[in-house]
Amino acid sequence: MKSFRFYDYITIISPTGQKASNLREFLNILEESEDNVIFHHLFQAHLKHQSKDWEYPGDFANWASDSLEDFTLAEKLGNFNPYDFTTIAEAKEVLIEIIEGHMYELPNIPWVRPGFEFYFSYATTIVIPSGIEVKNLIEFRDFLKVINSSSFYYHFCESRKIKKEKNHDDFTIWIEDNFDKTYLVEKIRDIDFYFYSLDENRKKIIKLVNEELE
Amino acid sequence: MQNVPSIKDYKEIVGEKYIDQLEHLSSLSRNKKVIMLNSTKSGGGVAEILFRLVPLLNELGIQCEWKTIEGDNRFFKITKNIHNALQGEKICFKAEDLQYYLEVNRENSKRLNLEADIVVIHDPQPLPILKFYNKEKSKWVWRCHIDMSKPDLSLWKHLKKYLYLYDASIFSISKFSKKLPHPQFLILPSIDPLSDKNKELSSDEIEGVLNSFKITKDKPLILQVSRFDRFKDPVGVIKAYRLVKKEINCQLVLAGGTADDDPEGAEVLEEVMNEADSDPDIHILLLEPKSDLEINALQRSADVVIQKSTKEGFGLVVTEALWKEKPVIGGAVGGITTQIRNYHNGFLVYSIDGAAYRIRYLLNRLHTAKTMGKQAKKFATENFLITRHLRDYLTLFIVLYNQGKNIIKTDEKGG
Repeated sequence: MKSFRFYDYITIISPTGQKASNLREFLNILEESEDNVIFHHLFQAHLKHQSKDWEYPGDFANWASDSLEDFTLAEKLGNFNPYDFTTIAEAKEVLIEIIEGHMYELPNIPWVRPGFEFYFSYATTIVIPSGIEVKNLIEFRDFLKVINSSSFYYHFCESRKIKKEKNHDDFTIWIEDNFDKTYLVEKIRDIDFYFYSLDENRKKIIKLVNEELE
Repeated sequence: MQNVPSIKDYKEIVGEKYIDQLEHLSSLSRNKKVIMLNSTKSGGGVAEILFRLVPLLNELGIQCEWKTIEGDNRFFKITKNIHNALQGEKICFKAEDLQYYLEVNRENSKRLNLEADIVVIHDPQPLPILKFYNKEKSKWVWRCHIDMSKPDLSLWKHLKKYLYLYDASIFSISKFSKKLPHPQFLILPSIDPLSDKNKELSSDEIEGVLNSFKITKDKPLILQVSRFDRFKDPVGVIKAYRLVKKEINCQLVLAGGTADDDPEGAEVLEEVMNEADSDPDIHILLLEPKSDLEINALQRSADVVIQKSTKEGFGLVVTEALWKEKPVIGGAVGGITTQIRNYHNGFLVYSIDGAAYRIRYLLNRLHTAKTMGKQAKKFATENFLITRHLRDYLTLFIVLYNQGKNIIKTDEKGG
């Protein structure tokens, strides 16, 4: 049996120095943005909403809602799941189509109050062993409660992107490979993980593992 | 002078795993020599943070040295103006003053040995010093602590030529960043949970401070801690309090000092006294410069903390209140917008009416306020403590030597 090693995921954010104060500027910068910028605002944004106090999972949708106050656009972007795409370029293309289509319907370009501009950025990440290694589901559940949120994000969310498989997070692959727990694997893979905050996702998995262990 | 805590003292606050993580990160930069250079060893936020960070970095195995530049009154008068102009004030600089600024930096370069793997230059005072060093073997980083969202353009154009020599820049929040030819990093400011201003206090200690100011907790207490400065809008706070007072019997504490280098302070204080009009429920406290324990006690005894600034850098006073489980009502400016999220840990407000309404919201919905307070502490713990600041620096040291990589792995991935 192979043990599961938890890794720490540490980021430092780099602003690109670009900001958008209206939707036109936003779209123009988005079109020119590198993959790491798109990745940060769509995927790593999950790290910013560890609790369920953010309306939407991605930075773009939240900015549309909270700062641009274009709620229709926020709703459209809120339903956009970047994990549906195998490359960042594909996700970016669809994102641009959504925004262009939306702008086409608008009589005016929406803008934000000073101080609420969108600041584009990217992150550099360091992945190091956390020193936590578990051998069975009981240990797995117990350490799942204490690992930090970024470690949880790395194994449960971003790992799917690395593997380019939307349903294949590190946790369920380990359970699938080492235990005869098909039902548990299916239930964890059924979680609408991009919708939920990291805390909510974590609680859901702990609950499912508890049910399995009972 | 307070004792500087050891890294192990933070275990109880952030957990053992967090400290392990810091030790792991520092092991990746072991044997690296780092120099921090600023303009003073005492007074001001930068010295305060370096006073704590440098020993902790050393304890973690980084050879970190803290040095300062020297200058005369003329130099510091010029750099104070540079500071203000970078924060948006319109100031016309004489060519000879800018030349003097450069000359003092040249003099310092003759005196200071800045040979290290990484040199971090804090704020604009020593910014041009790099011009006088050969940086081939070192990474030079400029750490900007001030609000650079709208600098005076002509000065910015002048200073950019020095900044372009650097390998990287650090800003406190995204809105202070600029388009630059080198990588930029965000490192949020932080508070030290073990300092006198933020450590736990007993109820006796808190009561002692309230008694010394003749404040009784017989009615809800609204608090703003800030210098008597127009940008902190203390008069607006009194107006908001009066609107609240019509509905809820409460008291207001305005606690702060006036800085020696701030001639407006006394003037603003007088305006505040006039506005208060001897209301016995308005307590205007003129605090001594080192009143950390008093501020701590006042923040802990407040029911609502307000920071109704109309212009703000980061607003560490907001962070201090969040750390003490207080929901904060803050003006939607500067770094306050980074710290407060409506209904989560406080409210952002845009007017006196807004401030008054949100004070009533928190005083009327005590259960919600308590929940928001707990969330506030969690938010501060995760984002604004000195341990996170340390982690950011340790991460930066590694990233500086791995430029161009989005992800740096130190071990094969398990799982």
